[in-house]
Amino acid sequence: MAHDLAQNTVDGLMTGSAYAMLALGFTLIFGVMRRLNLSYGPSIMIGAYLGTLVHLQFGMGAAVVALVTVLGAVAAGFYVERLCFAPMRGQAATASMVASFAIWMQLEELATLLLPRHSYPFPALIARPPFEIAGILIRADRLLTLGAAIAAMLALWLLVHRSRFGLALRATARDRATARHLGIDVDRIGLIAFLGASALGGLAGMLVIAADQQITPMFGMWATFKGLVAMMLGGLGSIPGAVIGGLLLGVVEAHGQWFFGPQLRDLLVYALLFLCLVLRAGIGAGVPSAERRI
Amino acid sequence: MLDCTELGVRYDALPAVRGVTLGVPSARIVCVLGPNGAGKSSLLGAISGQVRPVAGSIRFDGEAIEMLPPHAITARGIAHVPEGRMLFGDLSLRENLLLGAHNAGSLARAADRLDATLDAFPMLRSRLDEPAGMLSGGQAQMLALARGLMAAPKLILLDEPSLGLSPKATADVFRLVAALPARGVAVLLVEQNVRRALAVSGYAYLMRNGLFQAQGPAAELMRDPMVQDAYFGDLHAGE
Ligand SMILES: Nc1ncnc2c1ncn2[C@@H]1O[C@H](COP(=O)(O)OP(=O)(O)O)[C@@H](O)[C@H]1O
Ligand SMILES: [Mg+2]
Repeated sequence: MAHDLAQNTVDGLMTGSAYAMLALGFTLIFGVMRRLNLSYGPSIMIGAYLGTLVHLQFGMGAAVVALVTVLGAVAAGFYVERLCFAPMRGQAATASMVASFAIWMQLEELATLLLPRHSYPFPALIARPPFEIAGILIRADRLLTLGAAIAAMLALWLLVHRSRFGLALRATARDRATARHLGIDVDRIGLIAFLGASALGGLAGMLVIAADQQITPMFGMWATFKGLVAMMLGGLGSIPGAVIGGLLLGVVEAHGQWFFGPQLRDLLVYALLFLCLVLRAGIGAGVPSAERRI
Repeated sequence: MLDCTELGVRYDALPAVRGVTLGVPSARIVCVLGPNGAGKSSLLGAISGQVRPVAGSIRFDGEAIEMLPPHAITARGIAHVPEGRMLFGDLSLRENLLLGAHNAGSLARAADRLDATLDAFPMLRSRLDEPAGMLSGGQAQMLALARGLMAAPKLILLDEPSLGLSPKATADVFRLVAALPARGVAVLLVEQNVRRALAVSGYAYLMRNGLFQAQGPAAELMRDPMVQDAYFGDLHAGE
């Protein structure tokens, strides 16, 4: 029992670190633009499909496939930003969200046109058997995901809090009009944040898919969903919150799966999300906005 | 240095500025006076690129800037300290100031400017790590001014810097503004405090309903009976 708990927790943290990275990307976009990009997952999926295509057509190895996946996610992110977010800056948050949902459908369609079968192989980054530490089984590729998540979080935190770009980003997140008054090119800041988020998502998605060694058209929805839930668990718009939310989601899922099975696992996640939102609404009563600033 | 010609601004169908022509020479103070709704803020917004003028031209150092985005205008040496200060209350004084120097291109160069700028604002220096939201009205206006100067501007646009301040804070603000030309900074000052604004300015425009109704050297306008009646009376009865 104690061993199961420990093993589940470790597994959960590893999976959760991928969720955390997805949530960081969401947070970057939401923190700056106050907009939900529902196409976030599907644009990552486009990257992964391009990676798979390169793998199948040209027999490229894991490193090239990984690179193509990340760059493809950034390119798809650029497309989404130009179409759904750039034309509606500073207004119509709902219009952007609805538009990003429409693009979701479009991207899923594109993915199935590129590769029509239900699933395709994706090369593993590290193909070696799990090893054991103190009786806990650990997969090397999951460990890599955890390391990447920690590195991504630190890099993002440094960028936001210790660089000129980050300062301009925080100003833009707080008040676009004032940021413009100070000579900050707020549109450019928004675009760079968007592309950075796509790159982060691409990295997270690539690590997850490489660990699964397969890709399906469900991945887009999966990534949007996990990233969104993790971000909401962590309190919308804060970098440490996104990481905590992601890890929490991973651990709860791992225990839920082990003790109650997959259906109840998801129910457990919804219950947790509900609890978080209600608790936060309680704590935040009287405070104008419960959302945190990046 | 700054020349606006027949400048027009409108919001949808509503004209806010209806063809005004104004000039600011380098290292001088020029003010625009007028009641609420006269179009003063819209005029400044057009100069700094916040709103696109629908008519006329704006030249700065001989270059047409009316079609440039705000960041390009700031880069050319125009800083805009907006009405109501617009500070980032939860960011520190230091962060607010560094943001003013976004056009410096790097944090290191912004930090250099910070040190130089703070010489004129000793009361800000000791509180650099406090959030800007903790400041009193007068201190907040000082911070807004300092943040504007962090852009190392050749021309600074000040929108009602004395609004809502105590007499003492107002005096501090005007003392600081009066010292700017000596530092090589030209000022376009928008005010409702007619008396004090005319006292620090070389030239003044009186604005109402989007138009300039009168203009001239500040010293002359101060004695003009028409100005006395129209602007000293209703604007600042309680002063
Ligand atoms: N963003 C805006 N949208 C619509 N109308 C505006 C806007 N800003 C100002 N106005 C209108 O333009 C006119 C001039 O306003 P403004 O330039 O702020 O004058 P002032 O600064 O002299 O008080 C007013 O009638 C005001 O209601
Ligand atoms: Mg005004």
